[in-house]
Amino acid sequence: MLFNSFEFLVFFPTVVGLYFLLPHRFRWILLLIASYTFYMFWRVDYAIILVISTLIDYLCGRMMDRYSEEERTKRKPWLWLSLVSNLGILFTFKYYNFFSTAAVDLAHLLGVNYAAPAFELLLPMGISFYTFQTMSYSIDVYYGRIKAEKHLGIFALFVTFFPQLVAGPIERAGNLLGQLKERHEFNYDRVTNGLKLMAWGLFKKVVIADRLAVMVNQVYNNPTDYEGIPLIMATVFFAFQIYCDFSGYSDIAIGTAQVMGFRLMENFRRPYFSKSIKEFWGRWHISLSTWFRDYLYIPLGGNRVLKWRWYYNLFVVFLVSGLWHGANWTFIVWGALHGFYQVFGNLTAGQRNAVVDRLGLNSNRTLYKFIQVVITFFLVCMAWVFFRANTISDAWYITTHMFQNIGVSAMELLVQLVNPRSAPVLWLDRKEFILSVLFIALMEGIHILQRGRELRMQIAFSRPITRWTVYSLYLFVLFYFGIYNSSAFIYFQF
Amino acid sequence: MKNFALKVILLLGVAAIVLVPVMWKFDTGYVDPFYTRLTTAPAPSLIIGTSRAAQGLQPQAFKSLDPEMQNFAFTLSHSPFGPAYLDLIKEKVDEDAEDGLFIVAVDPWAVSSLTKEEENTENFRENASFVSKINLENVNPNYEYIFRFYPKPLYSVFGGGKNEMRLHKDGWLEVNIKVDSAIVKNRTTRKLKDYEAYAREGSLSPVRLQSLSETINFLDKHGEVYLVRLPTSAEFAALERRYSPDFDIKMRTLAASHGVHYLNYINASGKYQTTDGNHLYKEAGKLLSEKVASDILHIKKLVSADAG
Repeated sequence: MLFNSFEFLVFFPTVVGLYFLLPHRFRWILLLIASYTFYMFWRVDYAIILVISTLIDYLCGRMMDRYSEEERTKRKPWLWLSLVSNLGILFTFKYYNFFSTAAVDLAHLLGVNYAAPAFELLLPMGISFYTFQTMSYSIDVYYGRIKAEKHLGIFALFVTFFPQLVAGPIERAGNLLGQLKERHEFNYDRVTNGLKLMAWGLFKKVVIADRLAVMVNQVYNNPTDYEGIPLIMATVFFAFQIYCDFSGYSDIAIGTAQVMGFRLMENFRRPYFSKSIKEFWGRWHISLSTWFRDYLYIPLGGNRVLKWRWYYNLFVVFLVSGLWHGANWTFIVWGALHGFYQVFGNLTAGQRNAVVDRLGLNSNRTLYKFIQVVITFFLVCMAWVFFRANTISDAWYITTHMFQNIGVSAMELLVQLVNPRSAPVLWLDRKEFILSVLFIALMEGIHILQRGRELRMQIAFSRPITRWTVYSLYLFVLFYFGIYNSSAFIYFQF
Repeated sequence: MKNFALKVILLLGVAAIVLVPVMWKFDTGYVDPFYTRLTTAPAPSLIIGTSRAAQGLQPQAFKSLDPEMQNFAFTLSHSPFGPAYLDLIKEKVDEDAEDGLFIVAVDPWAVSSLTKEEENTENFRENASFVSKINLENVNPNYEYIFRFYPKPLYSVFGGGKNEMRLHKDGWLEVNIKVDSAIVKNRTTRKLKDYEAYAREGSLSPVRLQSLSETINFLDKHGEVYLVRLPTSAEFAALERRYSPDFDIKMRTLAASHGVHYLNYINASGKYQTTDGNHLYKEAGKLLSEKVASDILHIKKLVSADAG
């Protein structure tokens, strides 16, 4: 089920209404049924994978819990069972065909005659999210950070909790499991706050992301038809499309949970205002980057190792992060690029600081920060090219042609913009193009306004006339400028 | 809780007020070639088919046969014969109707897969459209259609378009475009190009033919069914003859097997004005609709005379 669907419009108030009407002891049953229903709107049969994953991790957790901290080695086989089964499911559905094709290609390259069968398996929605969530549970139980959950129903709900089931935030057992047992009363402020966050997420999805998708898809599905400005604009638009799509989903997920009294972790914190790639990863898909930090980077040794090993750790983490996003070389290159940015950034930090000091760039702090933000955004966009391109060769074409004939293509764009009778601007009609730019500016303006205090809090404390004017305007923009015949959220495919 | 409920009601009120102008625009039929058909009550009599029927058959002409006749034809992309369209038709026919009149417009394209991929039913072209996805077909206003299937942002309904199309309450799609011979010739050339591609790639689909048969079966329970083949331009008729030379035989056989009539006007192709070779111009559509109505009336008289 999609958050921006008609079905959810009925599903959500029904579940919330029943949730607050039911006695506390029955609520987990309602949420569990609701979560499976939510998932099975997509595919009924694939819910079995959720059941298998739940049962294995429940069993492993309980078995590990039988041994004390001192007997940790006895926990190990159960941890392995959990990891192997979760990664096995993930590998079978998501990566098998990719790796078998790569192996066949490699064999051919080496002159070996090798063939591997290919399976036509549909990728289960959200598989990377819920397998990572359950793996973190098993690892935390193994290290004794949390106690294993005894209540199978509550544990099943932890695995499938519908607001964050298919696209995160990837929750930790330490944060969510306890909350699933807490009693949540109806609280006006919390409920309205949650609804406002959902509304903001919906705005980002249907007004911005789906509008930008039209042009991005046109250019990225036919990149060789373009050079210069169209490739640059499509890439910049994609940067905002994926942000609005994914952070929009996260906002709706967090808001949905908040309405019922649950606190999910923050997933985005104005990432395009980052002043470095390192900072970007502290603000983008936070639940995944902290997952990799805690369960891969630190176990690899983090930065408490020799320098070369630290760089290796950084690079590996981003490479795996790329692979997590999809079984395609484009994602792997995207991850590798971010790994390279990090390593290169650390390697050259001293020299770069020296250059900045010598040029006196940091004498004006605001200007310096602005330059840092622009450079970071540029680097992120260059990596997005590989993330969005359909193939590596498409991505290569785009990166090598996006700065060609800039003058001519910029002139063409300008003519199209000022002449109402001109052809569509980059495949959006003129009005839609201008609206796209305006809505991005509006969103970033709101982000700036929210630096001090969240806008929804500012609205909540304003006069009723102001508040209701904002609500009416919001509804007007949502209804009149939203794109409603659109698709699923991009991150569902991961 | 009470305070919250009051504010939710107030917010819904604001939402309804905000949407009033859009609803009014949709209701007047100027903005969309499909919406009105999905807002009317189930009808005892229907016109079924693709855009040829949507534009070429005017329910007004069948008033003497059934004043409640509705045109429920969409386009070649949306409503070729198939399981999805049949399901939609089932929802649109008044379940109590027993003596309705159903005009089923047929042509080779409406029972064809137009690409190789479409030979697999999972890739049927209508699968991506509202025809196979919509849940509410008979409600007014139809928010589901507006929010799920209207292809543009809603502000565009106030764009001051040229009003080339108007969808009437009875489902007839009136198209007001110039029909100077040079313009029509240009349009026909372009349209023929598309259909020549379909003819190269496509083929009659056994699944679609089966669905057509099931559609007739279903409608037959609710009244009289007439298979009708509309005239086109001479060029289109020639292309269709090349594409499917035995189409008329197939339809005659199908009609006979169901005990219904097949009214074939394809030989009148070229005699009726079209807008693009494929669709009848509104005046020509009126004449043709009257002709179909009078032929049906004639058949009914013959049948009742025989029975008498």
